[in-house]
Amino acid sequence: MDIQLKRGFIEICVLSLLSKGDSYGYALIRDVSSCVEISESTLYPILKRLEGANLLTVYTEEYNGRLRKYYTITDGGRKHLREFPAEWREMTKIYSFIKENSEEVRNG
Amino acid sequence: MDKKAFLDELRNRLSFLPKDELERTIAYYNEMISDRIDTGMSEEEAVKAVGSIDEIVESVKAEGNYQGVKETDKQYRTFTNIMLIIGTIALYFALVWDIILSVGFAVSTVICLIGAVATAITLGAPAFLIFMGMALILTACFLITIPIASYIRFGIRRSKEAIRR
Repeated sequence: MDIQLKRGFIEICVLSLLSKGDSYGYALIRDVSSCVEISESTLYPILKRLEGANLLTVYTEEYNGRLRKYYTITDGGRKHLREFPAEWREMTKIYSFIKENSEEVRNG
Repeated sequence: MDKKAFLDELRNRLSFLPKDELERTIAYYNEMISDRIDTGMSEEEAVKAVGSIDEIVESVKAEGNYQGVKETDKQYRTFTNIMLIIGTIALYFALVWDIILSVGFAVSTVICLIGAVATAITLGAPAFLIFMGMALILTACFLITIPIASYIRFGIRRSKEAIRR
């Protein structure tokens, strides 16, 4: 899948997981991977961007004698999730448009 | 590769990052490896699972243009180091080898005078004045160096004697 497109989807996947409760890096990779294959080096910039855009916040907690970072969804992040269905409908509209025009896509 | 070797190597390869960003990245991969070990993986397997160092460095570079920061930073550091070395050498000569320094100034003065004459013919008055000015400054340095250096050496000798006493 196109890397930019994939990143956009993974962002939504991460936010959707966080909307159920706080999580940490490895758990996010494990959970997202059940749907899209994702590596540590893919997740890192995504978490950074989401934090920068104020869609999630980070806090550190001790676990097993070491520090672990936990991620919490913000109100902005929840708003982002609420906007996703509308974006998705727009995306399916674009898809049918492309399918209508291209024989390659229809037969692909 | 064990966790420590992996993180050390990663730290080396990412040394172009700003310090806080570097620490953040290392902490992230450290946590990822530890979490995998906690699920029952061996250290070796856990390190392998987070991906190759090349891949990580590539993804970091793709994120932001840190390369530029690195180069200017390096150049600035090199420049500062060179200036420090020159300064140290100059100070050493001024204190211990005032004769060599004076000879150096004298030679520079003569070269500047020759330059002044040469440019007076080829480039005209402004260049001639610049060279003459430099020659005058160098002559002044030459004249000042000997008494100052002697004075400093005299001071050093006296304090040495004072310590001996």
